[in-house]
Amino acid sequence: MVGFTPMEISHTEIAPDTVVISISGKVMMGPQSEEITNLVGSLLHQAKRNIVFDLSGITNIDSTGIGRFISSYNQIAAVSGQMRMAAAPTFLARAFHVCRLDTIFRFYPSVEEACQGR
Amino acid sequence: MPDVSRILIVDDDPDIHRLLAAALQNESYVIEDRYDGIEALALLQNQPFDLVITDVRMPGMDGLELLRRIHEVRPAAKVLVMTAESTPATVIRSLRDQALGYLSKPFSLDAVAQAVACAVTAPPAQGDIEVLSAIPQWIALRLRCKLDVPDRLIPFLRELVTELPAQEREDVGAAFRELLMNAIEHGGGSDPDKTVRVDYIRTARAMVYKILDPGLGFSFDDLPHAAISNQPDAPCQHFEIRNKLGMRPGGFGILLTRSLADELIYNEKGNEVLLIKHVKPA
Repeated sequence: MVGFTPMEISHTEIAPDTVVISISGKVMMGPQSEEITNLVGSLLHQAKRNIVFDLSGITNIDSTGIGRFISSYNQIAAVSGQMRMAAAPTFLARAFHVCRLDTIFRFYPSVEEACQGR
Repeated sequence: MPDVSRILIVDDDPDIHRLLAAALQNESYVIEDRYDGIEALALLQNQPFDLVITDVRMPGMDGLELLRRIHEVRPAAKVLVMTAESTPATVIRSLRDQALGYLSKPFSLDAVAQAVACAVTAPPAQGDIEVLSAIPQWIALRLRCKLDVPDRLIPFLRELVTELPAQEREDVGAAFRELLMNAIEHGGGSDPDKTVRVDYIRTARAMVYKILDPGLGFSFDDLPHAAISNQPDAPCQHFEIRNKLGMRPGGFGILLTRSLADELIYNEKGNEVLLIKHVKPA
């Protein structure tokens, strides 16, 4: 309970088809983390096909949380969109590396570089 | 959940009351302050509170005695214990007497606000975590198979490994949580009538977490829905299987745990596991 940081999610449109989704707190099992895939689905429905996740505020993640990003990736890939991961804290980058997801997801050191990246 | 939560803060230090008042400035909270355990208990005997936050070290009745006495008169009362002098004995007593959570001073305003926000919506502790036996070197617990139990237990166990650097402490906590969630969800079927046994054992050279679940176990040869079964070039291979089986996203628990722990050993049946963190002898 100490250190429990509820997940918060927000998004900013930076170009007509590009959105930065900012996530903070704990991304873990439970209905809160499902908001990630729900938001992605909603944005894709609005033809926002390029999604940048700002991960800098994430404080903890578990297996389910990692799964939410895979679900998001699958949604985005299904419409030929692009998903980029930005500013992952060290522990998070390590978790994705252990799960070999850094061979699938594209990681950038900052949101700015992710937005510019190809 | 009520619209307004009544919170009782018990501490002999006025600075703590000011700190908590600042942290908990919220129109959803009504706060009352008491500066010793005896007055707090007298108040609680006459009126319920949605949450009690009590310091441990106080003159007269200390916070752990207050915790015990509160539950004699109000068994479902939710109590957070806070202390600047966390010891294994304090952790054990807090668990035995069904504290809902544990706050180690000094704490930030954000940490307190978040802990309280979680506590006011949480169900009462009421036997979900039972201490079977406890000495600082060996704590045995019985946990109900409820998915919220790991997050309630970990703050207590975290206080037992304070000698570890912060990142290692987080890693051990994360690894333990993954294994315990597996035990509760898969071994216990998330059935609150079933229980998992957890032992924390501290030797001179290791911290050992032992988790025994009531399930039938598993074989590593039969985990297509887990990431450890994936081919190296197909890290999401298991995901399709999970989707077909209607399972929640995830399946990375064992893979993550192996990277966070020094040793991970399952028994032959697959319903008991040892998570081992090596430590330097003192």
